[in-house]
Amino acid sequence: MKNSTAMAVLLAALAIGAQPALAHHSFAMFDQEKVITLQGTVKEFQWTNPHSWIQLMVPGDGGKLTEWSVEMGGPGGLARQGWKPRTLKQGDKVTIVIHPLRDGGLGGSFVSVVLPSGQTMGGDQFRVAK
Amino acid sequence: MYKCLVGAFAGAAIAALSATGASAHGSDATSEKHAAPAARPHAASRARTPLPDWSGTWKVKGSMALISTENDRIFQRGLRDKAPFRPEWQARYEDEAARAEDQGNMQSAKPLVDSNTVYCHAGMPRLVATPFDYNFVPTRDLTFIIVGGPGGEPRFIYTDGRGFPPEDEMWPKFWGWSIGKWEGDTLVIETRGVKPGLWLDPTPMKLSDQAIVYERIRRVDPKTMEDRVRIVDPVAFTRPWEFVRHYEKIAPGDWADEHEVCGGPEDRNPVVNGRVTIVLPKQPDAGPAPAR
Repeated sequence: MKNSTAMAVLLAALAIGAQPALAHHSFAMFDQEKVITLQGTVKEFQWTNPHSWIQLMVPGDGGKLTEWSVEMGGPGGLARQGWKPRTLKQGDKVTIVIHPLRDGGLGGSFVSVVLPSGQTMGGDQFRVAK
Repeated sequence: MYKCLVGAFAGAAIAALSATGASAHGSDATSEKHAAPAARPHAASRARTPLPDWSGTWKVKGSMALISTENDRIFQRGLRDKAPFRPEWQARYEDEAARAEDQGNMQSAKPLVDSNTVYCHAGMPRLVATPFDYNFVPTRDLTFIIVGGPGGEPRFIYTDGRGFPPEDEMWPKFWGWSIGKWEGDTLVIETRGVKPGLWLDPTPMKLSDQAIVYERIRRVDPKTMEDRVRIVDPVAFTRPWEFVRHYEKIAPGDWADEHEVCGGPEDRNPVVNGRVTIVLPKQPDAGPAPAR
């Protein structure tokens, strides 16, 4: 992907200071001190309670695909941040930044994403009253 | 014995705070009778004072996960404020905080899982600061603080003049027993009988069964609610623990945020063998996914 290095730097910068929103479980399994950038194709966007997930197919060495699981917050909270159930669709090519699993498993907690449109989404923002 | 200890502790604390003017809570009539949670009607507070307008949906400002601070950057153990524990409680906290960091580690011998994960409910006083929606609903005799929208954790604060039941009729509850009274536009709350052992936030700070939570909730401006909290726990703390949290009003028009529902088939983080797990799919061209 063109400018992928610059993109990764940008997304990593967005991740600094990001905190895991309290969920019904700890995010201690994820290394909050690390960020990694994944470039791949959305296999499935699971818009589910209690937590939403992005299943991302990522090409590795020799083109072998691996499936990554990216854990997000619940749909209600995501909706407040501007997400919709079809923000991600099967086949979308995206760049996602995660805090990876500590044990090296193919998963992580969501930090941010660059959508096919070029729009970046992430953070814990919601609209406040004017 | 604890009753006397609580009374003496609270009394001394209140006297000290009053003397220094340090208390953010003003006079707290409920705490004066700390040792005797019998019926203490607040009939005077039920006069025809108009109820405040707390309408709308609110979100905690700053840190959504820490009970006591709005500073998002003070999250890690050792870098943040915490309860003023007595030495033995502090030692236990340090031990459990280390174990808590392993709650998702299948190789750890003694992981400790967050009570919010085990029960799928936060309980009090953790509900003071969560990432979920807040709706403050005052009525004449009962104020609801709904945390987490539909399916969430509503608090019931009785302002009908009742006192607490006799001690032998109060059993520990996740949300405790709460009574309140109105001081102008401020709701003054006293909560007792909170189930001990619940985590106060994502670190395993805990209260004893003697803890009492005092709160003063008011709307400080059209966009901001405030909760001034003082937790008195003569068993676990060396002094009352005080902090203030704020809530900002979100733009109108949003639908209520449905609360997290744990334990169903869509929950990919089940607690297995005392550990928080993550369900990962089988990899393409791979054998069975390893257990985590």
